[in-house]
Amino acid sequence: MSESGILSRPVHVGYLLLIFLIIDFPFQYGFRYLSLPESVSYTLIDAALYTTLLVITTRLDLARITLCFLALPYLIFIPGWLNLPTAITLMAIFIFCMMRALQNTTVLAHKVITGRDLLVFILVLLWVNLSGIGGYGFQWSDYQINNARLHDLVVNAWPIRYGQNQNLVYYFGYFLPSAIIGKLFTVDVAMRSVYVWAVLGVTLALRWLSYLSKWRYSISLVIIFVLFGPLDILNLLYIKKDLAEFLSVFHNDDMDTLTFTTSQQLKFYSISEQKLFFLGNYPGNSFQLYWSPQQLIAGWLCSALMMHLFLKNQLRHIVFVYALLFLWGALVMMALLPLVIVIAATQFFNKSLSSKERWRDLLSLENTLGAGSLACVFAIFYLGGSTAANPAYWLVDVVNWRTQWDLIIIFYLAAWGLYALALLPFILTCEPNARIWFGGLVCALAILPLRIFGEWSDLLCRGSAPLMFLLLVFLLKAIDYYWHNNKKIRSAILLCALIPGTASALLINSISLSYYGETEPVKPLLSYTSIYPNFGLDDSLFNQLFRRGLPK
Amino acid sequence: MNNYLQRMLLVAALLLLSAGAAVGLRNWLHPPLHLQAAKLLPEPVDIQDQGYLVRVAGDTPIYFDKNVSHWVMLYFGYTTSPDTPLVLQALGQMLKQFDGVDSQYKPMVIFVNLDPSQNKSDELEKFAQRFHPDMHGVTAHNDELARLTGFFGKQDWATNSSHIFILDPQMRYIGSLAPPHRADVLYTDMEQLTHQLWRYHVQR
Repeated sequence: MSESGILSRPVHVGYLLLIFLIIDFPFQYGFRYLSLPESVSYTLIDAALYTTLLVITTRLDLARITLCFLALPYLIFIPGWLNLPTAITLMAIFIFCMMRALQNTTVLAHKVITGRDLLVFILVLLWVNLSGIGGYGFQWSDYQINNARLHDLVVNAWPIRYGQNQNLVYYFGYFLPSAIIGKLFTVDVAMRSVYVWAVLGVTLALRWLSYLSKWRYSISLVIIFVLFGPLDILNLLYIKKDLAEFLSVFHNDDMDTLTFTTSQQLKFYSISEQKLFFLGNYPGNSFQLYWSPQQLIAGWLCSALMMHLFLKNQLRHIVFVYALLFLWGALVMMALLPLVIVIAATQFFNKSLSSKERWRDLLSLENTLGAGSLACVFAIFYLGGSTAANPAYWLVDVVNWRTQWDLIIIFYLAAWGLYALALLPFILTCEPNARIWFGGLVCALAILPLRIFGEWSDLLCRGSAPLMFLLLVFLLKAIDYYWHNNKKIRSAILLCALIPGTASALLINSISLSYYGETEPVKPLLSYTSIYPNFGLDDSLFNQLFRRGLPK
Repeated sequence: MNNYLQRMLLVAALLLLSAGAAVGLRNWLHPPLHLQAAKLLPEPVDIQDQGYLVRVAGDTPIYFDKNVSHWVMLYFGYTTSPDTPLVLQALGQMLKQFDGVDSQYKPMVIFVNLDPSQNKSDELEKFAQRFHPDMHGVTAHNDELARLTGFFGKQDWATNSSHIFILDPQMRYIGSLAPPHRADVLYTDMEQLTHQLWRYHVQR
């Protein structure tokens, strides 16, 4: 794996700007069919933004910039949703904890921007563009509600209340920076700004993947990241004995994907009239980004930062980092909870530490006051919403174990089990902290499907995203380790084992490409009658205690 | 100085390349339309989820939402009118041309009877299918009809009433075809529009 010369050379910022101008203008004028003045102005803005993003994600400290990315929505939510006393108190605590977290975070080495960084960044731009984010590529049906949320956050006064007992209660952190931009300009500008925001998040996630796995930040890393997914194809092979029937899944030209198909084929689709839609698979990275970036990106970043802190034994603000997910994705948080428990347990049972040392870091101000105050406000916020109205049941209660035990086993194996088994020999060579983290990850992956929550098995579907990300970290780490320790055959075998997992990503990317440009309308949430509104009651505890401007 | 000049030349060449690629892409993806009868609106008007509907045989409503996922051509008229069979014949011949060449782009043609008391919906379906098996004959309740014709005839229904209205697959009203309706002109115009989906989706 020798460094190829031209890609390793530093690229001057002026050249970056020029390259983005050259790439973006054909897109605006040729592809989007904008007028010449519009194309020129959009190109100039985009080139400046992309250059800035590349500088931020490459030159600045990865951990600190990730913290800032995760924290930004809170600086908007707190004054926008909370009454004055609560806002002042929470903002003071939040800023204090953030400052301490930023000060105590390991400084990851600064870099110059190389040709490789640029190439990787361009691939990220293309991937996010194709995903439907920002209204460029094909938008899958969830974008009806995603676009509506952004629209309403721009157009409506905060806190949003549509009418009696119709208070918007949702984890909308992802949309808030764009909503502010929309309030300053237009809804359309807000929509485009989501793209920039998402590119920043995805690039940071890719940086983390490279840093944690020690895999070179390169084109191959992007390709693996985009294509990585569960081994759903094994489920299909198990179910569909006939080859022609099996292949027909891949010729499906409608809105279906392998991910949907395997759920359906595993007959988890409608057990006892209840939707167990996504039970049968943990969706791959592309599927997650194309359907639910609002929870996914923060999930990737937060899990990566937590892993980094844990491996470095920096636990002083690890729970605070975890708590930053509150506004981004409560379901992702729930999926990561076993890892937090593992962190606490590890510290508690660490015999090399005195009893005072054991708790000093975990009970720091950030982890207690910071995370606790966020937990208090957001637990009350979400409990005032439609959380309880979501379908929720235990897996043991709805699966027919006599007839479906084999399906459960193949689901566990295909979703992540085989990957985890393949990793075991490598894990035994790892540092103790990495082994513990992997153990926690396996626990989290195993526990996640036991509780089905949400109309579309949302907990399982969305919660699996950061867990699969962490699994990919270990897989890449193992491949890289074997490669550099003269075990190239093992490395190649492990790399080849990822190939069957690319099927879902290949399918969803090809469908998105063929429908490129078909987007969902951007209109108010209330113009839809069939989508889940996420409304909260007027007399909720949140409204009584914390809300800015009580509902009339 | 030489080095500087070389760099400047390289930058200029790259910018020219970018401009060339932009123009090439634009012409390739969005060739200019040569429409004969179709008149396009400056901006498409979304009719999704506005509750506009018509009824087919068995009184099953068709809602104009994205589930339709076809280009739609709507013609409003009376079965008793002498113009209606002529227009439907032209539309039927247009559909036959799509059948022979590129059926995947074939628009959904819907004849909306303006007098629901005259015909039952299943009879209307049969009436329309005489001109082409894929053509739909539909009706609606008076208030639904009034809403629908009101939407398309906002400007001037008297002038527009003999037009054929065009909806793109996102159920946006994008324009209309003015009479006299000739099958070859209808086909040429619709063939251009349906093949240039990009123009209406990507640019906005």
